[in-house]
Amino acid sequence: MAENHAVLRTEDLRKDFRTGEVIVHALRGVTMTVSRGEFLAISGPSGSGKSTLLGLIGGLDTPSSGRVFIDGVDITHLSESALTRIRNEKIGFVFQSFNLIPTLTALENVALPIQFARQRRFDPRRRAREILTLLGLGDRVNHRPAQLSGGEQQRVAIARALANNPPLLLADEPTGNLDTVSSQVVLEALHNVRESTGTTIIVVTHAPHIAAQADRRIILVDGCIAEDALNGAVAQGLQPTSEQAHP
Amino acid sequence: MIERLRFAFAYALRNIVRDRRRAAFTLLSVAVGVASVVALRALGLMLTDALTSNAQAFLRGDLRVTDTGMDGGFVMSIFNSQERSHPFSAENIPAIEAWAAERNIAITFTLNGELMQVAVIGEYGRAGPPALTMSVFVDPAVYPFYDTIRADKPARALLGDLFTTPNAAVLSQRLASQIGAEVGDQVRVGSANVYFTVTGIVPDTAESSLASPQNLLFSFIYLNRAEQSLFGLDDLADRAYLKLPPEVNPQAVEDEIANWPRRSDRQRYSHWSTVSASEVLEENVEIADAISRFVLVLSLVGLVIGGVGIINTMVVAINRRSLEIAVLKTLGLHSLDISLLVLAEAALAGFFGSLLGAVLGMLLSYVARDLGQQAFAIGLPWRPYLDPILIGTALGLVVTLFFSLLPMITAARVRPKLVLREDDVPMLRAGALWTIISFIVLIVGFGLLIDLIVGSYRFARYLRLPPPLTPGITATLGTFIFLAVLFALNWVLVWLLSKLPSFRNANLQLAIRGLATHRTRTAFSLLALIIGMTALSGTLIMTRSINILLYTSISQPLGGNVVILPLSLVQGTVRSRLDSIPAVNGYREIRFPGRLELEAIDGVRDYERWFALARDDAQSSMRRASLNLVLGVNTYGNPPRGQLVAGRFIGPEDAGQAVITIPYLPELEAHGVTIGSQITLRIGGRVQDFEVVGIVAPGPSTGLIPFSLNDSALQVPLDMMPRQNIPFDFVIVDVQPEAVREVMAAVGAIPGVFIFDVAIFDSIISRLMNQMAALPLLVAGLSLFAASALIATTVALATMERRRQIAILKAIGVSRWQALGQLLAENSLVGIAGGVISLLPTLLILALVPALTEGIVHMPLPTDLVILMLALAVLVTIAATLITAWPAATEKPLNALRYE
Ligand SMILES: Nc1ncnc2c1ncn2[C@@H]1O[C@H](COP(=O)(O)OP(=O)(O)O)[C@@H](O)[C@H]1O
Ligand SMILES: [Mg+2]
Repeated sequence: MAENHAVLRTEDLRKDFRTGEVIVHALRGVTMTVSRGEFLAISGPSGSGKSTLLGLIGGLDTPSSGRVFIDGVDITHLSESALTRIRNEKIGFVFQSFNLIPTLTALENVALPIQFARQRRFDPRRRAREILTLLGLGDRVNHRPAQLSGGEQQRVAIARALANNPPLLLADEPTGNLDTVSSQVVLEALHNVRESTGTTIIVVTHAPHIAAQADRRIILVDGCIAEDALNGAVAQGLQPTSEQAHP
Repeated sequence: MIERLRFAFAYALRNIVRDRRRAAFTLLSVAVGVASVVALRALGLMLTDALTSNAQAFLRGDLRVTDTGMDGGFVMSIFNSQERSHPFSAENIPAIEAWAAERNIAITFTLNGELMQVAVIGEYGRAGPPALTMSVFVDPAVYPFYDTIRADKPARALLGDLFTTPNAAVLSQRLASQIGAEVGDQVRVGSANVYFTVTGIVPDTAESSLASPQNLLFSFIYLNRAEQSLFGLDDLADRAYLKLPPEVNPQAVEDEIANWPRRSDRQRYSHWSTVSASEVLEENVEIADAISRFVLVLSLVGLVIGGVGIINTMVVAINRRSLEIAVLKTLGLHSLDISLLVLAEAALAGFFGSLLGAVLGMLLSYVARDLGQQAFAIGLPWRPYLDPILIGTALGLVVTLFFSLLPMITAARVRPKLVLREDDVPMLRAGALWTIISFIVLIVGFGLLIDLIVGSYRFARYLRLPPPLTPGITATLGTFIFLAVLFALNWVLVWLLSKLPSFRNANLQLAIRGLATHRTRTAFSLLALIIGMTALSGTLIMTRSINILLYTSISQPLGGNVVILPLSLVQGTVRSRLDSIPAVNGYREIRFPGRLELEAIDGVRDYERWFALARDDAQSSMRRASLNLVLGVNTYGNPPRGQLVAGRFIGPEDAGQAVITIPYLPELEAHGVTIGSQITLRIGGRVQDFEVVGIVAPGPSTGLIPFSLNDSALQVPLDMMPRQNIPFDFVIVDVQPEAVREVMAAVGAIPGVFIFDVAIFDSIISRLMNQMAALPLLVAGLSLFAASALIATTVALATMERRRQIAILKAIGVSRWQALGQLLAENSLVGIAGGVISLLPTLLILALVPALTEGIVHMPLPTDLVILMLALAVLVTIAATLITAWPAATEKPLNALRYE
């Protein structure tokens, strides 16, 4: 894919954490490019830096060195306010534990990012209903998170991430708290989204079957990219590599 | 923007509903503060109403003319009875009345403040124990102009209607309960030889103590002025009330009064002062304004404690929602948006809390009214005032917003990356800079608020404070610094407590762990407890200590439990009556000299120089002063107190002998004054030598006065002391306690006799102290209440956080009491620490008093109260703990475990 199509590019991304005397090198130089519309799976052992990488990409944290480009814009030196806008318009987040606002209904949760957009592009309630319907939750719009199953909650979270039609969707172990059936539903929802909106999706996951359904998979080990391969013909060959990463 | 606001409020409202219990505590924190503002503000308004709504009613006339020579009524009348002349005498009154009639002015005279003894006459004509009371002779047909006095019994009867029969008496509530009188009873009043009938009982507030200060001390009785002659008081009066026709200018009348006829020959004491309704109004407006402002500032204490509660609960709430806030930030909410959410929540809590507080405050104002009536002895009107509700709600809202500044900043500073490490969310902090900034805003805001309430910005110029500091800001800053220091000390204390050995006791161990993990929060509740308890225990212990001190100073030196003041005519009758009562252990007659000077000791005239060396020594000057008191004594079986150092006491056999006993003083001993020495006294115009026959060391006295009447004065036989101005001797009787009432009734029945139960001093002093302590007590009570609300919130938060821990404990077979035990132990530790610390300032003051007064005053320590206060501190914390932790402890463990 051509460089100018890249929705995301990182350059030698490094992140150190200092806890007292100890310095943890969570990322030790990650360089990668993700094209528009791509479905990327990142896996790797616990503590390998997956969440850290996702956070840097999403502008939740600043790298120790290196740069992150989103739609060609370097976000590493943006002000907090500009970052907030990027998060609101360009990026959707999905987390392992759903993190819905418990006091708001599914519809209100989804409408939230639209209501707080600097420039409003959608009617919050109509848009929220649309996306929820797209994700198969048309009959659940007025339920509170506590009244929804885990899989449904995660689909609401995905809908919320897509509310402002961001070019990039970041999901950190979205199926980690779900059983296999629900996982599959959520995964299908993600695929649906990609097909109907063309959103680029980056999923951090432990589950081999999810990684297998992605276009491309990256395996992180100790803060470095150990493997970066397209799925399909080579998928079978890559499987053992990721298994080796878990001793 | 509107939509964001709407969202913010909707979100806030749902958070309040979701987290009902915590929200309830925030509301309570606000409500307690607002309630204290509303109650005290309402009290201020009631006072203003009572004092200023009708100055004519307050003054009971357009003008009041008072005989200043008669001020102090009873005491003055004893000492001046022979030398004074009354402006409102039987001779002058007709002339004054004629003067008034000419000008169409209504005038009525009253005679106030003659002390009288009143007793109920029971079956077979036996009198009950008497009580001393102030008589108020009025013309019931017209008194009072402008005001109406209505009786409690018969309900709502007018004063005028109670005097339709001859020999009627109307008692104040306090007097009626003292002597056990009911309407219809016969009473003996003073020296009158007819009995009076009680026709009514009026509230104590009928005669305001602001107008007649004696009423603070004594109860009163209304009598008909037309019957004054029954008491040998002729047509005497000490006050005149004037009601002017509308067209007359009060000032002109005042000028004329200055030239009222005085037909008395001796004009020495004939002075009067005139007060007009407008002057009273001016004065009262000032008094009411000062008191209301003062009281309102006091109520801010409650608001501040409430504010600490707000910070406490909101910071915890935000900590509990930190992940949610981080998520909102990842969705693209700005820090300002987040602040708005917190602000909306604070505003809602402030609003609803204030409403709740307003309701509570109105209820509380009922209590405040009672205390206010006690403090000012004036009837206060109660009505649902709007103004305090508005002020209280506004203040509550403003203060809530001020205090939510810190939680707001804390929330705004939540980093969105928190979401990445969900299971390891750190304690949120606002950051040093922001904490300082929000404190500055808080101090400036609060300071300006105080300036506004007190109006102290007017004084800013005189105080010469550097520009940004107004008096209010300075005071607030000072308070905050003081509280900060106190807080730091508390923090250290909590840290020390958390290092206590646990003695392998599982509960104690968990309790100490709990303290260690929430040091800051615990230090906060300790601070609140200390503020509340210090105020309460300080007021109670100090009043009690002063009470005991005054009591022992006045009654202990007397050396008896009944004091009789018989006119000399009946002194013999009193003696024989006392001799006939077996319960009387003995008695002593004491005669005070009129003019008597110590001329020389052993011929030395400048004996004062003996004390000169230690002129700065307060004790020494007290000792010198004790030489100025010479008493004539006559002892009948009641032995003098004190320690005989040498020689003997004066006894009946010394009658007519020029003998004297002297107090033991080191200065006298140093100059060789001993048995056989000559004391030269100048009595009136006569000089006489007395031979020292005894030296008496003062008995131990804890009172204010380091000597007592019995043992420290120079004492000569009674008949060697010429009677001067006082027409009677004091008879101090030592009666077996259970027979005091019997003696009172028996001796009190003799006409021309005043008789006191010494306990009356105690009751007078107690009443005075209670009156003075009433307002501080109200404020102290409110702040303790606020403090316990704060403790309750802290415990509630701790419990919520430990829900899981409690559930796990119960799952492994721990009983609910054991599960509670840890929280109880933890908070008892806090309670004990708070109780002890809050006692320290008071105890320190008590301990410092002797040093500050050079050993003259020793404040007694009311141990029982100290223990009670300690117990109260522990009780308050335990109650707060139980109320809030009980539900968690009784919860089914499965519930809590599944919930998380
Ligand atoms: N805020 C932080 N402070 C200190 N260490 C951190 C922090 N965040 C992550 N780390 C460390 O960085 C490494 C990578 O963490 P993370 O990206 O969460 O791993 P993963 O998501 O792959 O399990 C780990 O060793 C982790 O302990
Ligand atoms: Mg992770």
